[in-house]
Amino acid sequence: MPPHDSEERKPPGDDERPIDVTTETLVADRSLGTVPVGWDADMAVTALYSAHYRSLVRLAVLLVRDVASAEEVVQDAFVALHGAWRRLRDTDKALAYLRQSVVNRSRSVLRHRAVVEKYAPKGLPDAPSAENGAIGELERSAVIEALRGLPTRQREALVLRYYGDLSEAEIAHAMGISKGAVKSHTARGMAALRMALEQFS
Amino acid sequence: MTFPPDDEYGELLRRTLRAEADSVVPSPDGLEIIRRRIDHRGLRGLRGLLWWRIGAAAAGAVLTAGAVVALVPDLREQVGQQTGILDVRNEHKDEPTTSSVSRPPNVAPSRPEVVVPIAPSPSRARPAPSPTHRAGVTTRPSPSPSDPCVTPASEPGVIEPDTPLPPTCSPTSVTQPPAVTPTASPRPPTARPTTARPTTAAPTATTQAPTPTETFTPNSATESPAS
Repeated sequence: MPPHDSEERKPPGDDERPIDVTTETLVADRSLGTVPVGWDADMAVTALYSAHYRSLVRLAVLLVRDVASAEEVVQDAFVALHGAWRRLRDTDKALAYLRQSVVNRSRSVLRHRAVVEKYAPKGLPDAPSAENGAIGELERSAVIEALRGLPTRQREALVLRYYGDLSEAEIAHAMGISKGAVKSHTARGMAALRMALEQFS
Repeated sequence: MTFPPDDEYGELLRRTLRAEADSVVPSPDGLEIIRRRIDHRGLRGLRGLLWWRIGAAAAGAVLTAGAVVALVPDLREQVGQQTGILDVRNEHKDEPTTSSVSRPPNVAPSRPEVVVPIAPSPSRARPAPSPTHRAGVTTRPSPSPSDPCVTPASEPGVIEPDTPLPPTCSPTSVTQPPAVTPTASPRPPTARPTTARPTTAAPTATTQAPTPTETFTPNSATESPAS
């Protein structure tokens, strides 16, 4: 069943998968529906998809800068969650697992892309469209470009903090580093971003 | 959250990231793709599990068969003879050690041949240096001067009568040129049964030399002066 057919969340039956309902939920939104203990992996995947798929895709887009790759990353994360659901059995753990999986797979995508771009012929840079002529758009483009110029860890820390509104501990878990490293990456990233934006202005 | 309060760049970054993220609209068939991948992975996992089970069953069967063969003595010998493993092991046991590097095994049966004097003697302090060495010397075949098969070099001028040869002699020693035969007969010597086909009888006679009773020498039977 296509996910846009129904907009209401129905309780899943015993012999059928729960109906998909996509709702807008930010990564750090704590108003997540708790998954009952008796749910199997299919039901949990459907519920988590409804609550977090879009926000996770957007998070991945900010990391990999490509919608198609971001969707593939998030879909892979959900498939991995389905296999790991037996040991997770918890919504909070599942969400942390999804975030960490998205971050790790985004790193893999960027690593692969760096190798491809290293040996592929370089094309012309994208020209700004007419819509980007507005001042706000210029500022936004400048910020995004400055963010893309940061190292991967710094960019991840900034995106998880300023887009996902995650705490230090959550960022540290998602990135697989310590809290001190999170602070360090965030401070360095902000300093580099400030310097780039000052040069732009 | 222990971050310091956002400065203006932090707020700018937050607004920019939100605006950038809101412009992204995921495709609506994400859940279908995820379910398809889950099903595909499940089938692949089942296939891998099936092959793993087949391999485990085969390994278990081979292990059980090996254990049965190793534990049952009759079956082990039978399999060893069929495969040749047991024969090779026996051949290696019987083969004498000729290497100068490896030490020959201590042979216990050579001990009874050593005669140890009961009376105390200074030579008792030193045991027999090598009883096996003596046994090896005595058992080594060597031509003895009293060997009846050795034919003395006949002098060319002496004509000897047909003396009966020892029964252990080979027919090759009997073959004499017809010129030195005292009883010159018109028949060629090859017609005589005594000298008939000496070359064919030679290998068999030499191999059976130690057993005189089994050797048939027609010359001694027909021309013996004692009879």
